[in-house]
This record gives sequence, structure tokens and C-alpha cells, in this order.
Amino acid sequence: MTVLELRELTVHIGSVPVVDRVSLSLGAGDRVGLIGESGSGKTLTALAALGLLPETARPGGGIELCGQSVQDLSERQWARLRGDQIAMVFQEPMTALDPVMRVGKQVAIALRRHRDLSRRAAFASAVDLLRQVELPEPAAIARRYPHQLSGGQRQRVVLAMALANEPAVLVCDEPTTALDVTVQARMLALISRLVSDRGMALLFISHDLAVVSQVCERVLVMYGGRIVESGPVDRVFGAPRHPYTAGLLAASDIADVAPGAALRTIGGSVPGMGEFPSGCVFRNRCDRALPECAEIPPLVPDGPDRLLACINPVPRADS
Amino acid sequence: MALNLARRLGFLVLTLAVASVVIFAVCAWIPGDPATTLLGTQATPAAVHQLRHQLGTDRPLTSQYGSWIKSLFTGDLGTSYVTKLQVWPQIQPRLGVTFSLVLVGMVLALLIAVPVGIFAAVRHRQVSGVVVSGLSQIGLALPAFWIGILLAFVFSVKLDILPPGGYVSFRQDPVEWLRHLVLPGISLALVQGAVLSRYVRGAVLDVMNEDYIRTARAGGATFAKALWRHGLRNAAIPVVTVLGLQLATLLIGAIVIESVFTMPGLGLMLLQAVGNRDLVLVEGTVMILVAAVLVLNFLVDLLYLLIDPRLRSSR
Amino acid sequence: MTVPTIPIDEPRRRGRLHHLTVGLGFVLVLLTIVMALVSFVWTPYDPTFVNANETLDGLGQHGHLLGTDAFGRDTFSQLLVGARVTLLAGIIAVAIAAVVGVPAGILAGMRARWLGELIMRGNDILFAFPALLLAILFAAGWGASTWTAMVAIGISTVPVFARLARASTLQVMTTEYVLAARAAGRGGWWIARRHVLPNIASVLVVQASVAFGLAILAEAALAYLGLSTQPPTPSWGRMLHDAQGYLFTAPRLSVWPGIAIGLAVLGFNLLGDGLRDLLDPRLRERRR
Repeated sequence: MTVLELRELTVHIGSVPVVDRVSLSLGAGDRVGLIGESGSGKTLTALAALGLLPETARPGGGIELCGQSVQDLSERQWARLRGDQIAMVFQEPMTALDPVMRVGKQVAIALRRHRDLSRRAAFASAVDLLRQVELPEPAAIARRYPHQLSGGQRQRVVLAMALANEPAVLVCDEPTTALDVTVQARMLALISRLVSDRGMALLFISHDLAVVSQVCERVLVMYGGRIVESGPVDRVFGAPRHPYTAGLLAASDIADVAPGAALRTIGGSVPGMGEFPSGCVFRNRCDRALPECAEIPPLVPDGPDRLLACINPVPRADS
Repeated sequence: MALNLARRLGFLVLTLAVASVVIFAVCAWIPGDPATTLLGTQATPAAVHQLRHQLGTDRPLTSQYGSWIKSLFTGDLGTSYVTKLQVWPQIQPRLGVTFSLVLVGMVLALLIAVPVGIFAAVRHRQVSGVVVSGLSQIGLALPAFWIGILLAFVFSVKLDILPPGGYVSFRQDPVEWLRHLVLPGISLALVQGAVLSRYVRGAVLDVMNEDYIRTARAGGATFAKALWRHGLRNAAIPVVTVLGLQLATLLIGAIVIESVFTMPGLGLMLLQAVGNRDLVLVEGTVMILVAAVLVLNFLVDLLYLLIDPRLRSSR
Repeated sequence: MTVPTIPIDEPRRRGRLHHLTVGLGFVLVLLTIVMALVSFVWTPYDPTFVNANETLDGLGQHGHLLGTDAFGRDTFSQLLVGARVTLLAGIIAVAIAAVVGVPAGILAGMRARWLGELIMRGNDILFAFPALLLAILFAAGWGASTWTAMVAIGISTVPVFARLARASTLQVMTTEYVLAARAAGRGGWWIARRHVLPNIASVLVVQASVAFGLAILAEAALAYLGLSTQPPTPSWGRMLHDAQGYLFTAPRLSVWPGIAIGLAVLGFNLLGDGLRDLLDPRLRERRR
């Protein structure tokens, strides 16, 4: 069953399409990654899926949540769905929690938004949730204020709040980027486990290829607001077809670089909003660009379960 | 936290002490010798000298200050040279008037400022929000005593539904107490409310953009509910810090408004004392007022500590 | 006692509305200044001239544009001359506050140890003395006059400027160009002159505008109470005091001075707001 479907989702800020015809489909239990650098539009895509776009952004296209069309819902209608059908964990744990309220109470509030629970019952459930996100001494932590917790602990609280009402979809936007490296691995494992235990769908957004390859089965690569490539994670990362994906992989593969040699980068830098080239968004940085790239390359199938938007892709490994 | 409290308390005491020195010093350096004033220009030097000794004004300043402070602790604010009456019994009944006015003024100001500020913040991009914000700009430019005069004109002179002045104590008749405080209270509150509303607006605007509002929305709260549940308490913090300052301004404003509505409070008495060059009375009253300002600020600081848990544990 | 910074508004709508409000502020301030300047050269009538035949005239009666008061003095002329005191109040108050408060604040910001602490503690104590109380004390001693009022207002404005100057100075001291200057061996005076002052100037100018408005309000209140300008010199605040006695018979007398005060203060406030956006965005961004 499809729990989240984006159909040609477009988000305009002013006249600029910062998300340009993005389509993706998540079924129950799917783990999909959305890879892109800052400025690719990946966060706005996620926010659109929850109806949390800023006032200045206007969405277009189709969004379906568990079969229900949601793109034109009012705030009150959205409030019924958020937390209950779809939840999100954001990047910055230090500011994600109300600083003057104890964390247990914040989780309990999240529970009581969609369930008819007494305050005591909700708090007890909150403590249990904190235990499930592997916080030691959950009862003690529940009585603490956010400033008394570390970043990793706060992020776990946010995770607990997100999972409180067992949503069908969990969207994570760079949930571990702001955390220490040692904490990251544990957090990722926790997210994977909790999601699979509950049979939830996961949309994982990141710029970190290693993290995505760890957690996701499928990946979509985003650049300039568009999906440029998608497919199973091991195949896309093992044999990338789009020059941008190839460039990303080469750049992140530090171990492969000979000592003393220059690190591999993608030439140029990510253009600002509204400054992407016409036609293929990547062509001004692509070393495989052709004159024909002035036409927007369509996102077409490339093999049984891959999509590709490039007319001059990296040759297949087997050709 | 106890250390924090002790430190603040200590500073309060220090400030009170310094303030008392300043007040005493200013009054002492003011030209005019009470003895000569009392006896007149025809008095003989011997008589003046004797009166000075009687009053104690021939002692060195430090010793005069010392006895003044000592008597303060026993609740004796001295005896006026002019009226021959004790100072504190004169002040005491009037305290109720002034503080009632400050209380009513503050409550009304908050009642005005909070909804107006929230409205202006939530609708800051729309015309209604901008208009409201503009109105608060106008409101704080107006002299409060002028508004008092105009209100008295409309409601007392023209409509005759509210008394144009005076005061009735709460114990005597609560309804009349309130009726006499409505116009003066509103005069104070309109201006202070306008000032406060700008701070409320700023605080709510800041809070609206905070991440935890987004987290709450992501969990199923509407924007309004998230603001109510999480935003208001956080927005209250900067507003409470302003309240302290505003209380002092309110106290001073109350003194002026008392004149407008001829209320028997500290204000009128103070002004009369100035007219009579009654320094002892002025000294005592100003000391009381300054002490009130300092203590009020101290209490607001405490309130601030209570509201923001981040201040409690960390140093 | 903690004093919050002025809450930061959202990035300002630089549109027409904003320019409109700043323009309005500028016009109002200019109007007040023009009134005062003109009054030195010409007024329709002598504002202190008592005319028993033309008391409590209405609008336009006997050639008086805005009527007369209970002594037959022309209201319009009184307003013109009263503008002098109003502006003087602001100028003196801000001047005292700036000359005393700013150097103290800068010093406190640059010598953050015991001297800075001392200055700020003294500042806090000064905060406890509002203008009215000081004015009362001075009036009790030396008799009320324009000068006692203005000095009182000035002294009571010092702490705000000192605190602001110190906070801004502290910010500037952490910047790299100041660190570079200190590393190069530049002394305190040089740094204060070349780096601190120019950078905190914009914040101070904005505060000066706001303080100007507050000073006008304070002077008006003091004048109303009889603690400022004494008769026969016209003063907007005192005009309101005199007018109150005639609320039944001539309520219009209570209207004009109040409007004049309100417009003048509004002008300075709007101007200050506009200046804040013009001069401040750099500092604002860093605070966030």
C-alpha cells in the first residue's frame, strides 16, 4: 500500500521553482533516501509532504498521504494528520524542543494530541517511549528540561515524539548531521530498528552518502530542485549513471584518494536559488555536457528499477 | 540558585543604601537653612543657632545622615519642619492610593498589551496587523495626563457616568474604589499598554520563528495551538523583564495622573511639599518611592528566575 | 536588574509603507523645528500678552487662529513659542545623556573588569531615579524652572545610553579588526576613536531619537505639574494644566497642546524607527 505519494510536486518561492516536478512513492516498510547538497530543494520537499512549507512558498502538484489527497488542506485538517499519519524529525536538536517545558511533558503532549489519554497515562507512555529510544533512566530524563540534555539525547526525545502515535511515514531531515560522529551510528541504528519494528515507511534526507547507504534501500538524487537519478541504493552508488551522482561519490570516497593527491570535487559550486541553468540543471558543472543538454532531459527509466535524467550518462559498467 | 538570590538581595540592599545617600546628599546641599527659614530673616543669630542645635542641623552631615538612616529602620521618617507633623503617618494613608492606581494601571495595561501585541505579531504581514502596530505607535506618543484630561471630559463632564476625581478606599466601598480608578487607570494603561504591546509583538514574532513551534506543528498542533501552548510562555520571558522597567515608569506616571484626577496619593503630597520647600517630607517620600522602585524591580527579577528554568540550574 | 534589548523586528518591509512612515516622522519633526524657529522671528500675537477683552475666544474669533486662553493669550502663538521649550528639553536631555553616558558605557565596555563592573553598578543605581523624582528634588531645592527639569531628565536618561553604549562596545571589541588593532599595539583611545565610536554611532543615533521623544513627554508632564517652565513663558505642558480648569467652558483648550506634544513625539519615534532600519541591519544580523 502506498503511504506517501508525491506527484510532480513543485514548490515556488516567488517565481523560482525550488522544487521542480519531484515524484516519489513510498509503500509501507519502504526505506527511501533523498540525497542532495544544500540548495537542492530536498528539505522543502519534505516540508511539503507535511504541509509545513513557509508562507512564502507555494506548492503545486499532487501529494497523497495514505491514499488521501492533502495538498489543499487547511491547517486544522493538516494538524489531524501530522503526528498521526506522518511525522518528521528535523536536523537541529538543540532548538527543536520547548526550552521551558520538561521533555516528558512534551512527549506526553504529543501523545495526547491524537489520543484520548489522561495526563498521567500519557506521561507514563511518554516515559515508555523515552525508554524505547534508548534513553537511560527514562523516568529521570522525562523530568528534565531540554537544556539539561545533550544534543543526542534531545534528538532521541524528538524521535520519541515523532513515533508517539505510530505514524505510517517517518520523514527524517538530516537527523544525525548535527550530532557527534560516535553518536551518529547509534542513532541511525536506532531509527532503522524502530522503523522496521513498526513497519513504517521512511523518507531519509541527507547529504551524506554513507549514511543513506546504511539506512535506505532506494535512493533519489536531487539537484537544483529536480530528481536526476533514482534506484536501489547499492546499484546507484555502485554504478552511478548521472554525472552528478558520480561526482558526489567520487568526492566522498576519500579512502580511494592517493596520499598527497588532490581530493576529487565537482567543479564550480551549487548556484543560488533561481540561478540554475536552463535545460539540464547540472550542465554548467558537468564534464559530460553536450549542446543538447540545453533541453531539459526527461526523467526516464534506465533499467528495470532505475530512473535517470541525463542524455549523456556515465556508461554502464557492463557495456 | 540560592547564591544567585543572595547576590541579588545583597545588591538590592547596596543600591538602597547608595540611593539613600544620594537623596540625603541632594537634600542637604540644597540651598536654604531650615532654621533661618522657620525663624524668618529678622531672627537673631543666637536664636538661629539655638534652633539649629535643637533641630540637629548643626551636626556634621555624616552624623545627620547616620541618625536619619537609624530612624528609618525604626520606621520614623522624621518630622517635617514646616508642618511639624511626622512624615510617615502622612505618607502611609496615601500609599494605598498610589499603589492601587499602579496596580489597576498595570493590570489594564497588560490586558491591552497582550492581545494587541499577539494580534500584531500573528498578522504582521497583513494590513490589520500593520494598522494595529501603527496604533500602538500613536498610543505611546501621547502624554498620559492629556489622555486623562480628555477621558475626564468625555466620561465625567459630558456623560457624567464616572467620577472626575477623588478616591474611595477599597475597604470602604469596593465598587466605588473601582469606579474612581477606572479613568485614571485607563489613562495610565493606554500609554503603558501601547509600549508593552510593542515588546509583546517583538517577543511573539521571535517565538513564531522558533524551531519548537515547528516541532509542535509536526506533531499535530495547529499553529495557533502551538503558539498558545509553547510560544506564550517563552514569549513571556522577555516581556517580564520589561515589566520591571515599566513598573517604575508606571509609578511615576501614577504620580502625574494623581494630579489630573486630584487623588489623595503620594503625588499630590509630594508636589505640595515641593511648593512648601518641606525638605524632610520630600526626602522621606522620595526615599519611599525609590525604595519601592528598587524592590519592585527585584521582585520582577525573581519572577524572571521562576519563569525561565534555564536560569535556575546553570550559572 | 536586567534590561532587555529592544526586540528585533522581522526584516523590515522596505516597501512604500515604510518610506511613508519615515517620511511622516521626518515631516513632523521638521514641523516642530520650524514652529520653534519661526517663533523667534514672528508670532501672530505676543503669547504673554494678557487681553481681558478677548478671553476664551473660539477658533478664529478676533483674529486668533486657534482662540485664546482664560487670560486672552493667543493659543496659536503660545504653541509656536512652546515648541522652543519642547525641543530644548530634548536637546539638553539627549546631550547630557550622550556626553555622560556614552563615554561611561564605552569605558565600561573596553575595560570589562573592575572598572567596567563599577560603572555598570553605578548605572543600575542611577536607573532607580526616574526623571520626575529628580525634578522634584531639584525643584524643592532650587525652585522649579526649565533648567532643573531638563537637567533632571538628562540625568535620568544617562543610564540608558550608558548601557547601550556598553553593550554595543562589547560587541565591537570582539570583532576581528579590533583584535587586529590590539595585536598591532594600538592603544585604547585610538581603538575607541577609530573603531568603537563609528560602529556604535548608528545604534546611539537611533536611541537618541527615541530618547528625544521620551524627553519631550517627560518635560510635558513636569510642566503640567508645575515643575518645569514657569509662567509667563509658554509651555505645552503647562498650557494643558491651565486648560484643565476650563474643561467645562472651553474644552478646546485641552486639545491643541496635547496634539502638539503627541505629534512631536510621534515624529521622533517614527524617525528613530526609520533610522534603525537604515543604519542598523548589520548589527542586527550579527545579534541573531
